[in-house]
Amino acid sequence: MHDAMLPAVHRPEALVDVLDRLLETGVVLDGQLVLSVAGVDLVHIGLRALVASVESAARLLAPPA
Amino acid sequence: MNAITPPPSTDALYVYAVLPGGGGAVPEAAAILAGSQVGSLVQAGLAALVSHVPRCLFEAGHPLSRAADPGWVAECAEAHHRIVALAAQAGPCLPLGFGTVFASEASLRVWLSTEATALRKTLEAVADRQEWGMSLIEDPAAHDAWLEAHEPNLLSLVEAARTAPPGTGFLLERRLARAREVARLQHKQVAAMRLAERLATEGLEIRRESGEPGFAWSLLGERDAGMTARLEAVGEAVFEESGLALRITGPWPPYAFARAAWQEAGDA
Repeated sequence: MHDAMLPAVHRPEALVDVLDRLLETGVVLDGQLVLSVAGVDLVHIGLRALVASVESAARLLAPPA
Repeated sequence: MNAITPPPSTDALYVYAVLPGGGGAVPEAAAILAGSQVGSLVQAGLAALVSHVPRCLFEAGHPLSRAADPGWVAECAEAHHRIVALAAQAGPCLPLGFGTVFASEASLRVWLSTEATALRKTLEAVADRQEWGMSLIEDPAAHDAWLEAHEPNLLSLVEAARTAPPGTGFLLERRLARAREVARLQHKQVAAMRLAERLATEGLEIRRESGEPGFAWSLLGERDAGMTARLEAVGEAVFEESGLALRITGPWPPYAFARAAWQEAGDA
């Protein structure tokens, strides 16, 4: 019996899959930190720290290998 | 006297996604932070899905920042995905990177106006499309067993190592370990090639992901209720042919392809 080997479709609701998917995807603005146009502070993103946290959360949630 | 950290104010805008035109209905879902709401901000013929948030929570290094708290970030990620998925289900949707926070409404308006052409182009590239994640799963022991059953040369080496006297047996075991490693890699490469051929017939756009070099992909296709089942069928065929299982996730909003399309729009 090889059920464990059969391809499985995982629902997006599985948090670990969501974290995996969101890691390094989506439109990212220039440089991730502060983007300015004509001296105006447009965006401030703590994305580097968030991405590191996503990685940590995904590791915590992932089943042991 | 200790410095007093001011309480967080909702002085910034978290942006989930950009939608075309009037933006349609705002998804009815909990915002990224409890107590805030999801709304839309229309500018330059585009609508940004937003929530008011305290900037400091997302700001690395700020005393009130929670950006390094994996549990909090995981909750935020789930909320981000829920909202983007609902928006993508309702119509064309360009997901922004998780954690995109604009300093103010005015700065978001400036950005939407400045980047309107590139945003429209990127939206067009991913409009009404979905993506799936796919990767080959390898269980080394099961893979070795499959290879021994299908590769006579490997089987001969296994037999020779098993019956050889201790000294020769040790050398043969080392040779066998190397041969297994090479055979596993070659077998995965062949399986990946055949998988790509099968996926091409489904009319999907395929990009390799860096997670597991050569063996993980994102697939972009039209919205198609039957696609997930067809991908499962591809997985079954790959398993029958190679003994390797596929892990499939999705359908997702076009997260990975949005980033690629945005980069292309910026380079053009």
